[in-house]
Amino acid sequence: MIKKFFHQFASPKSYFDIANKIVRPFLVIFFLAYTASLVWGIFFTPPDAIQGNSYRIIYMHVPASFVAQMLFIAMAVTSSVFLIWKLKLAAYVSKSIAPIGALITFFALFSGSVWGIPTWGTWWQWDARITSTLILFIMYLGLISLHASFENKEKADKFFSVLVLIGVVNIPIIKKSVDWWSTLHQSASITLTDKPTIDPVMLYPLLFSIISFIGLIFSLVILSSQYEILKREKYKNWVREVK
Amino acid sequence: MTNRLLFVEAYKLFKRSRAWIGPVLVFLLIVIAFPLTLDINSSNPPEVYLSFIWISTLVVVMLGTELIFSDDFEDGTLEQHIISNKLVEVVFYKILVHWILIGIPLAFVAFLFILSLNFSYELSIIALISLVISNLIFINFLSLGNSLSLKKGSILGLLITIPFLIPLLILLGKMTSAVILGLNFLGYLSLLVGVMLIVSCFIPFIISFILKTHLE
Repeated sequence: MIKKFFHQFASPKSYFDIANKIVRPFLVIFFLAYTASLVWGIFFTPPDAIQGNSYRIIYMHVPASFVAQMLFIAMAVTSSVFLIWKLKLAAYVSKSIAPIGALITFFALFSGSVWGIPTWGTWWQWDARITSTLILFIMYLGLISLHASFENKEKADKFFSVLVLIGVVNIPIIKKSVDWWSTLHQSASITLTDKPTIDPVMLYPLLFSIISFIGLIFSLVILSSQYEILKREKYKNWVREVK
Repeated sequence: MTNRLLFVEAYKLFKRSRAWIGPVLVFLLIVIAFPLTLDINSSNPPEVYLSFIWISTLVVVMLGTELIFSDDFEDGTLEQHIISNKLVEVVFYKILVHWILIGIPLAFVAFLFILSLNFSYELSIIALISLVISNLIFINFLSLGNSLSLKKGSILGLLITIPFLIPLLILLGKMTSAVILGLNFLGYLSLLVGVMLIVSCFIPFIISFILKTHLE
């Protein structure tokens, strides 16, 4: 029963149909939720004791940098599904995550620079977490250009997946080694194991913004994977009937 | 039989003398150009020269491994190796031969440059050893990149594989600063050797998977 569901869901056609039903409501709901979290964070929280009002960019910076790393791991999961079970759909999803990941990583870097000017007095610092985010951004760009450079898209999917898997092994190594090199950026305020070091008044809107941003990016990934399916399967009969 | 394969690979690279003399000469030219653009009499710290040497070896090794698979790919030798199930071995030998004919000469040219700068005896020797070891790692990763971008130029391969080499560069920098400060560097050196062993065990398998996919 579960196996049957899995196989049905994994065919691009039924995935497309299910995605078509849920993607618009998801987009609207999470867009509204993220806007609400921004409004909550910007208008209904007190200013920070040291940073004043400038800290409010946290409601964009933290979700973006969180999602930037999460998307690479999501890409690794779908790539390994593609390499193990040879599901075309997984490769399509994996390929459609990469541009979104690059965009979000760039946004994380940009918002970090904007935040750095009032608080550190500089827009760029050769610091551990910033540098590893920049390397992540370049890795996304390399993967996109790798996929684009092959005419034969089935080969491109395989190379892409292998490189994503090598990359995901390397990301923790890069992060650790860059930490070892030097660090200025504060360490994470919210971790799974410890009590958060941020006041609850600011913590709740931050958590809300992270969750709603993840939802927003998730629905964007669904939308772009639908586009990828239409592009790659344009000679199939069911695609012609979609309109 | 295995020695014969190694001998064939060595002979093929040795006959294409442009492929292994060229990178060494280019590296020599870069080394000559570096003191011309920097005031060599002012007291620059040794790290400056060493980081310059690593980054230029990285680029020169990229040039040297650019054609590592393309000739065999075009004349069908790789397909023969796939059929006789010896692809992983051949890839390993190719990397080894490139290390012997390109990597080690580059390390010695760099060593001569370091000797000319009158660094401490210990630092020069450590720099030579670390260059010999790290060149093998560079050749492994850059041939991975070049196997991906077969017949497409090596920019794509460089774009993909340099991010993987960043931890190695950080390790090299940490090791030399430990030597300069007089700290214990043997831990870093053994970590470098460990990275070399792991990389040269796993990369040939990944490269042979990529080459098989190319030939499907």
